[in-house]
Amino acid sequence: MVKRSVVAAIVAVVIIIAIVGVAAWYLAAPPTPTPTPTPTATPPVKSLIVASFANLPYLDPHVAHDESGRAYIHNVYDTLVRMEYREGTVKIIPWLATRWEMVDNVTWRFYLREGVKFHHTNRELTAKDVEFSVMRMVIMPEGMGYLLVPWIDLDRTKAIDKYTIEIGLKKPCGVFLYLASYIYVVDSEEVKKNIKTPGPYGEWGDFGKGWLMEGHIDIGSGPYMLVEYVPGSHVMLAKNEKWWGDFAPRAPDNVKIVAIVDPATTHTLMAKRELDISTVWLPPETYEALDEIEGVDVAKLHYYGMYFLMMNSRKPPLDDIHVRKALFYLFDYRTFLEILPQHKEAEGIVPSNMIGFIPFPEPVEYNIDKALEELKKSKYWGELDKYEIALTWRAEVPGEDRVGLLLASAAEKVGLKIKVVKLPWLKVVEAMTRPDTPNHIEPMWITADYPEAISMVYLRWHSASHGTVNQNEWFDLPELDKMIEEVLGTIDEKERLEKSAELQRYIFYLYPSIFAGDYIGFKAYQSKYIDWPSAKVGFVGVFGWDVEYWKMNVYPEKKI
Amino acid sequence: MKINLNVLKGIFNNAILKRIILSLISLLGLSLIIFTLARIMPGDPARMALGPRAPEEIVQKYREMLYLDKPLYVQYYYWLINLFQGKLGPSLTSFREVSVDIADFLPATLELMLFVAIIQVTGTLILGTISGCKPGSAIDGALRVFAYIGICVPPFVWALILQFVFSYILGWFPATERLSSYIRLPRITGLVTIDALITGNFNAFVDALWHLALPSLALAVGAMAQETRILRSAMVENINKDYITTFLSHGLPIYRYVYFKYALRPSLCSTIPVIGLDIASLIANAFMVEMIFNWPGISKFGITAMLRKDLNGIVGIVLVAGIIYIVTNVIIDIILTILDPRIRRGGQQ
Repeated sequence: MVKRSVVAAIVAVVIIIAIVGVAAWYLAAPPTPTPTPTPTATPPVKSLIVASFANLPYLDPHVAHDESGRAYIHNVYDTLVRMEYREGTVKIIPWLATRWEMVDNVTWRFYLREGVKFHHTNRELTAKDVEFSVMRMVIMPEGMGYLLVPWIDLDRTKAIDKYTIEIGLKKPCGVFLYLASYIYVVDSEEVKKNIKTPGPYGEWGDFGKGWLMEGHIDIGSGPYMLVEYVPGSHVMLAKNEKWWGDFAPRAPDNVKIVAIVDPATTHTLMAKRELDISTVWLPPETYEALDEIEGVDVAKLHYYGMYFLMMNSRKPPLDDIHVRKALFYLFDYRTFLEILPQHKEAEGIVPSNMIGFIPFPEPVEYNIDKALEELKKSKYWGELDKYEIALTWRAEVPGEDRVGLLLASAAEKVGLKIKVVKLPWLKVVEAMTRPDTPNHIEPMWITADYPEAISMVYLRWHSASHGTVNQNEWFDLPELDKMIEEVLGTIDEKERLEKSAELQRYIFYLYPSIFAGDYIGFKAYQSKYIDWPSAKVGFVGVFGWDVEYWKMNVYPEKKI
Repeated sequence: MKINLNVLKGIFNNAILKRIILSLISLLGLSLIIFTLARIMPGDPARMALGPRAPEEIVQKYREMLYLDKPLYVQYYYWLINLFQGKLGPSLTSFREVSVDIADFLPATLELMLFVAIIQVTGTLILGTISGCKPGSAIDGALRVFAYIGICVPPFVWALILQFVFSYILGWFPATERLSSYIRLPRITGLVTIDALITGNFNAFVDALWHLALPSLALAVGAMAQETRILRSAMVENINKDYITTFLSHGLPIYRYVYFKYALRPSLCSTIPVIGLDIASLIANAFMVEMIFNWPGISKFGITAMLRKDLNGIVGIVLVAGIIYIVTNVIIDIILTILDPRIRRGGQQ
């Protein structure tokens, strides 16, 4: 009896499951190709769906440092000042601070906009919040806070009154206003309420980071506010109607940031108009395919980024400047652009769109004869076959193997041995922490944080970058550090740019890297119904700042 | 009632309880292995977590907070202490407690697994039985072809094909995610179908099923094809046994009694463990399909944890996978004990 009933029960369950499954499937299949919302649903009037690479952004403005994180905080949090592209260059414009002045060489005073409210508490933003935000960024410099650490003197940074904040510096800083554009202001009271102890920041515990990363709310005052965070799936933002600034007339009412990696999925979603802007990380052939979809265009955005093949000056034979210079001439710059088309030919040691950029002091070209000439001047000439130059191919970067092989095949012609070594990214990061463990040549995309050339120079060649992925040269040149610091500390812009130009020439003649090309990011977007200012000018500069949602116009009625 | 109790007693008197205890010990061993492996993988987890530009002193503080500056056995000791307090440590990917992350991501994968199981079990039973009852027939041949294709094509290719055909070309199903954007559903269990039913939101329920269809099918096809072949072989073997011939010679109804009752049941004993393990393996193997369908599941989270060397995340996810394997095995054992009287009687004939 029991056996029979058990079997009957199993069969019944299976049948029920089958019937429910089939019925649900049948019911679920919509009669028309395009899903139609139910009558009870209220679809958004103007919505924007933007892809984020692999992971959703870090929701803490003082932690976010990658592209998706920067795009998120740029739209949700207000900063003290902003950088804006105007008339072919980038200028500092008022934001939370309506005006500012330099009290002395090491003190800046900012006068805040009145009546700015935080999204969720509706509390007015004051100088105390700015003071707290600066302190938080300096004490936990995990995101962009690293930019402030060398400069900010916390003891002299204080709120003067409700709407005036004074920021003290340890030493004069000529680029401080650019750095101030990274001061994302948070609701200090909300942070204090949600601090968990113990944490890595001493008396400040975890500084509220754990709570903020859970994504219940945001604590900003920017043009968009967080309304939903579904880990691994999406972040939903809504327009902050109470924002003090001006929205474009047809700015999106809500913005959905989705974590889409797969090129085929991106293609499907863009074709179905379920994705409006792609990521910048798709393979070149995918952009070609996306460009063929009616109503989709590919924006080509010139970032402050460059693809370098960084040469380790402490590893023989690259410790000889002539060998490094020879490699300069052994790189086929034109073929490189065919392998990795998201680039344009480099014109200087920093991207050509940066303020203070100077062209290469002498021609940089693919020239085997010149390479041979340089090698003959090297101390290793005659025994080059004893040295094998290892060049990294990051396993995660499609096409990078061909870049390595391009250089290796040219090097072979002059008797230099280059071995292309495939390594996972984690291994590369670990190897680059010490001068002896990385390969001789490490290819890397580096993007600067602000428009002046010194931003890239500091990141790439100051000794503060030793041990990070920003540098593989490992120069032991105190005079180089001194020159970089001198440029940064020069207040007068004209003088600073002159010094910067001199510095770029000095670095060029060290032949530190192969300057393969300026980075041009591709992003597919629905040009039929989205008016995207960055795509029009093709200039973005800082990573993640290309998507300023409040400046975009969306025309859902034009959807095909 | 007496018989029921005996059945239960039979089940739990045998190796199942011992199995559970042994499984817990295995989990501890698993945790030790994965804990060690995760830490000897290349890469500095603190640096990965804080970004390439964070100052070294902050990175060092972070290492100290995570005990990464201590010997491995000390790290494991602290990890165990935390585990017994119900904590898996902070995730270096999300900066939240790993247990919070698991609670967020696991339901999506569990829901997917549930629907894969429904499709897989139903499909296997129907197709395997049809094929096994009519060996050599045209339908058997057709199902053989289906099985070979199903086995050869990996799930992520099925995912791309299904997405392309049913979403892109036909537009019948959504291409990504668990619910349509315009539907808001409170999170109760994290399983959207269940949450929709609890809240009485039938539209959301149908929408969730609609979203589940393609990823579930993509994951189910390959395993279903393989299990269909296993069930078919077992059916053919059992149908040719003497006891079936005896039943047939007594004139019992072929399908109702002979095939379904006396041939299918023993045939399932070899198929069910495979089905169970295939379903359990989804917890770790579904990541490509989750990526393609932007499914916020634990496999996807696991890959992110691996890529960012999120030590606590990796260990937490492997432990969850281990627990799911163990639970699945116990369920398989229980089902087999019900199906096979020999197991119930402790191996006696």
